[in-house]
Amino acid sequence: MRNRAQVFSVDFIIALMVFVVLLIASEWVWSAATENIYFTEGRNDLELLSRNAASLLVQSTGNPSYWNNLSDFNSTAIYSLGLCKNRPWLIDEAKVARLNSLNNTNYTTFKTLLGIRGPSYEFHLNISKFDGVKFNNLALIGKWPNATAENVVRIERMAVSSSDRNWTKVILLVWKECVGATCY
Amino acid sequence: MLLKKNRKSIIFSLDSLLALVSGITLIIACFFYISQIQTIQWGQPALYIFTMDSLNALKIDGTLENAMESGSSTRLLLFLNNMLDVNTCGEIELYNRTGSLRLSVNKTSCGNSTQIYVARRTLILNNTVYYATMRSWYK
Repeated sequence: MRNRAQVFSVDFIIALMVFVVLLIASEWVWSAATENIYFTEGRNDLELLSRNAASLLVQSTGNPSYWNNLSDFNSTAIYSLGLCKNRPWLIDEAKVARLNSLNNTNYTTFKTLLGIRGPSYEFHLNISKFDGVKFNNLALIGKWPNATAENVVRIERMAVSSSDRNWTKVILLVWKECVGATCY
Repeated sequence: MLLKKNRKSIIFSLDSLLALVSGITLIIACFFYISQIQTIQWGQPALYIFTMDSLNALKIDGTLENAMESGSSTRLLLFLNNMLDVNTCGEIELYNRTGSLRLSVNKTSCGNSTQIYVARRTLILNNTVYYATMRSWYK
């Protein structure tokens, strides 16, 4: 009887060890996979919404198209922001000037109208015009990514200024502000 | 019921060994499938969109039409050298209706690449159809 009991104990211990090893390995694999998916999905979300926002700016007039003439700048009166005059890629400088005059006092409204609505998502918009030698800034809107910001997405679009047909660059940075020790 | 000690021990050890082997196999299989997850290379569509934007901008401001008429590449070269990022290369070609090359401009100090993004735009000049091609790639 004594010998038999020992055999069962050893067997049980081995089985338990295998089970524990499997359990730990599964947890490890699960964590790695979850982190990978979370990071990838977070990046995809940022990339997609920043592309959409940049397309809105460069390829649409906005809704309503005369939004720059409205005295109220809020998401009730304006449904979307677009910088074009009457055709895609032709930037209306009056709209750019209006954006620049509003600047950071309407940062949250900008975010809403551009569709940048993720948690802790921030943006920076730079519109500059080439004068034949160098770029001159027409508008600088939003924040700058801080040192701990991860997943900064940079979208660069080309267009033409409506006033003098000079080449104009629209550069949009979108990122997620880090909260706590980790940031995906 | 009494069993012989040695034989039983062997049977149970084999059982554990099998469990261990199947467990390790499962883990390896999991890792294999996880490693197959592919992320989108967002830089590639971004460069294509920028290439398309460039041709549209050059069409709207009349650069393509002027270059086609005059055969001068000065402004196209100015565009390539100033609008494209330092790490981006580009080439613009203008073709006649028949498909013969009219003009070809390359960004200065650029090599070749195996991964090139191509955009095309059609132009109508004096009731004749022409087309412009822009290729871009990362250095």
